[in-house]
Amino acid sequence: MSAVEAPGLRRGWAWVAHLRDGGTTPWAEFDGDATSQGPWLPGAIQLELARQLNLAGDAPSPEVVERVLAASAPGRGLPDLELIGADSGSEFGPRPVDPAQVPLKELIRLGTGVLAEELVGVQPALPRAGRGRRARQHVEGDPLLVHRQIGGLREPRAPGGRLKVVGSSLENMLYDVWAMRSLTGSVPSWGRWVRRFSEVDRLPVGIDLATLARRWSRQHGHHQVLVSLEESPAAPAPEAVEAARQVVMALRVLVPADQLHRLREVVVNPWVFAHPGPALGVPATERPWLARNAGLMADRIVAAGYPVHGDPGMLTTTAATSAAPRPQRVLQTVVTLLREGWDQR
Amino acid sequence: MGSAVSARRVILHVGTPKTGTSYVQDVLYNNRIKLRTEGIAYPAERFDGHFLAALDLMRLPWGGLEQEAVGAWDALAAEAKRWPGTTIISHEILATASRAQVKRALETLGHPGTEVHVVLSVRDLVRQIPAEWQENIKHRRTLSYRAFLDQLQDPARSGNIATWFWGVQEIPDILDRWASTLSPEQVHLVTVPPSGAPKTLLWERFATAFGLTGMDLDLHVERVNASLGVPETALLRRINQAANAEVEPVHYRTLVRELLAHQTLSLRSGSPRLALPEPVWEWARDLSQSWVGEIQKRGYHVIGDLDDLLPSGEPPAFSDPDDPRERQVNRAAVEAIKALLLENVRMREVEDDLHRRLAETEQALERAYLRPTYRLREKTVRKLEDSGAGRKAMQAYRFVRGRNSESA
Repeated sequence: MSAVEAPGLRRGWAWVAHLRDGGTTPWAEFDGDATSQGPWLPGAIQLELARQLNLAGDAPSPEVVERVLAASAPGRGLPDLELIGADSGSEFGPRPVDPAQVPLKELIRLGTGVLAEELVGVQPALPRAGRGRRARQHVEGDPLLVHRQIGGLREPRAPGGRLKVVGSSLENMLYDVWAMRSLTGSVPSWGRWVRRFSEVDRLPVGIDLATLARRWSRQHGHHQVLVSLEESPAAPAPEAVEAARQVVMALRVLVPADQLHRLREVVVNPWVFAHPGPALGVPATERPWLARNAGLMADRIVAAGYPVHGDPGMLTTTAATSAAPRPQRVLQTVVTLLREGWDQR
Repeated sequence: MGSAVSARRVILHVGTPKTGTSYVQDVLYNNRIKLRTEGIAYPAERFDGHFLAALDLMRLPWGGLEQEAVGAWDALAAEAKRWPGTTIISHEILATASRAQVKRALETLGHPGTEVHVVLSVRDLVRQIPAEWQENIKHRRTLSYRAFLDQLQDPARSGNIATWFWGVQEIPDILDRWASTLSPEQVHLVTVPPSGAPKTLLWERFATAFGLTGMDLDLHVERVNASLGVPETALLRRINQAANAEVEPVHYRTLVRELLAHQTLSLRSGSPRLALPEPVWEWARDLSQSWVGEIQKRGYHVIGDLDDLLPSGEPPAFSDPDDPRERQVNRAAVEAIKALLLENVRMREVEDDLHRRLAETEQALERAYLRPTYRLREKTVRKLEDSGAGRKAMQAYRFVRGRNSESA
C-alpha cells in the first residue's frame, strides 16, 4: 500500500475537505475518507487555524482558508508540524501533534504572518499633509497625551518658548510608549520590554517627565515649564497592539521601508486605534522598580517647584490588572481580522 | 557532478551550519568573476548576499537586517533564471526552510524546467552540538551548557533552542523537506572530514559537489570563524549575563562577537576544547548511526564518507564549561580586557580627531552666518513664510531653482 492510500492519510485529507467546507469538528472527533488533494497534507498548525476561522461564525472566504493552509509562519517558533494519525510515520523531524494541542502563540504567529502577506501588494497613499496651524507651545511626555494635544499641528515656530510636559500614571505611560513603539514592529513583547528598562534602571526618554522638565528649564528658564498630569486617553487594547506588533514585525521582511511606513500609517495604526481597551500592568517582578521610579519622579517634580496641573501622586497610581495580552483574545482578534480583511482605504 | 557546464542548472547549498560554509561562501565570492568566465555564477554583491535571500525566503527577522532582505530571494532567483549556465546559491540557514518555502524556492528557480541540485554539507553530531552551543553564546545567549544539552535531548523539542538546532542539523528531516521532489542523484551530501584530515580535503569535496574540480581558484580568505575553548566560552557567557541588558545588538556584534570572540579569544590555543559528557556522547553517536542508516537507504550521492558522521574511538576527556577552571577563565579575561583597552585607545584617538574637525567646521560656519547678506536672506524668508502669499512666492522661487528645500 502506498503512503497516499494509508487510511490515516485518507482521513487527514477528508478533514482538510471538511475544513474547506467550513467544518468545525476537532481532529480527534473526526471520521472521514478522501483521496489526496495535494503533494502533502497541510500542517497541524495551519489546519487548526482554519478550524478557528470556521468556529468564529459563518464560513469564511475560501481564499483566506487556502492562504492559511498554504502558509508557513514567519519568524522563529515551532516548525510546521505533521497531523498525528495522518503523519508520514517518519522517525525524524518534529513529532506529529493533535491540532488541539498546538500552542495558541503558534496559531497567532501563523495568522499574523498571513495578515502581513495580505498587505504586500497594497500601496496606500499618505494623506496630504496640510500646512495647518502651529501649536502654541512645545508639548512632550506621554505619547497619547501629546497626540491629543497637538496631533495634526505643526511644531511651534520659536525654538524656545514654553514646554508643557504631559503625563499620567507611570505605568500607563509605559504602556502607551510600548503600544506606540509596537506599531514600528521592532519592539519585544511587553514583559521583556519592561524588564529591559528595569534591568538598567532607566525610563524611556520620552516619559521621564522630571528630566524633560529639568532640561528645558536649564535652557529656557524655570518659568517656561508647565507639568500637566491627567488621565491618559483610551489606549489601544493590548490584544490589538500585540496582533499589530506581530503583523508589522512580519511586514518588515516583506515590504520596503517606505511602503511599510505607509501601511502602518494608513492601514495598521487606524485599525489598532479603532480597538481601545484597558492598558497592561507592569509584571509583578518589576513592580518595585516601577513604584520607586514613579515616587522619585513625583518627588523631583514637586521639589523643582514647576507649576503643576493635576496631582503628582497620580504618577504612582496603578489600575491595570493584566500583565500580558491574553493569548486567547489575541487569537480572536487575529481570526476576526483574517475573516473581515484589512480596511485598505 | 563533473566540471563541464552545458545547460542551465542551480546548485543549492542549504546547510548545515558549522561545516565550513563561511569559508566556502568566501571562496565563491572572492572568485566570482573567474567563475563567470567558466559559466558558473555566484550572484552576490557582498559575501553574505545569499544570507539576505534566505531571510527573505523564510520570512525571518534578524536583528534589523531583514529590512535589507526585502525581495532578495526573488531577485536572486530571477538572476539564476537569466544565467544560461550553472548558478550556485549557498547559505546554511536555508536548512530550516519549511516545505512551503522549499516549494516556493524551487518554483522561483524554474524547477522542474531548471535542473536543481541540493547540496548539504554535514558533520558528526558530537562536534556539531558543542559548536552550536558556542554559536548561541556568541549570539548573546546565556543558557548553561547543561540546559542546552537538556533541551536538545528533550523529545518534545518545544523550546526555541531545540527547534532551531534540529531544524538546521537533523539531516534526514532537512532532506525530507528539501529533496522530496528531486531524484537521489540530484542530492549531494558533503561530509566534513574528521579532525586531523588534510586542510584542503573539505574544499576538494565541496569543489566536487559544485562542479569546480580542476579550476585554479584563490582559496585564501580573510574571514575565519574560529572556535573557542572551554574557559573562553565560559567567559563570553559571563559577559553576556553581565552586559546584555545594556549593550545594543549593533555594538555587541562589533565589540563582543568580532573583537572579543573572533579576533581575541579564538586566537588562544592550549585551553581545553568543548566536548560532550560521556552519556550525551553515546546518545549522539546512536542518533548519528540511525541517520547514517537512513541516508544509505535513500541512495543520495555522498561526497566523502558517511563514516565521517560517526565518532570514532572513546569519548574525549570532558571539561565542563559550566564549572570551568577559574584560573583559565581569568587569563582569558585579562586578554579580553587588554583587547578592549586597545580598542578604547583607538576610539579616543578617532574622537580627538573628530573634535578637532568639528571645531574647525563650527568656526567656518560661524563666519558664514556673520555675513550681512546671509542674515538679510534669513529675515526675508521668515517674513515670507508668515503669510499665505509669501509662502506661495517661496514655493515658486524654489520651483524655479529646481529644488524643494526648506532652506532658503
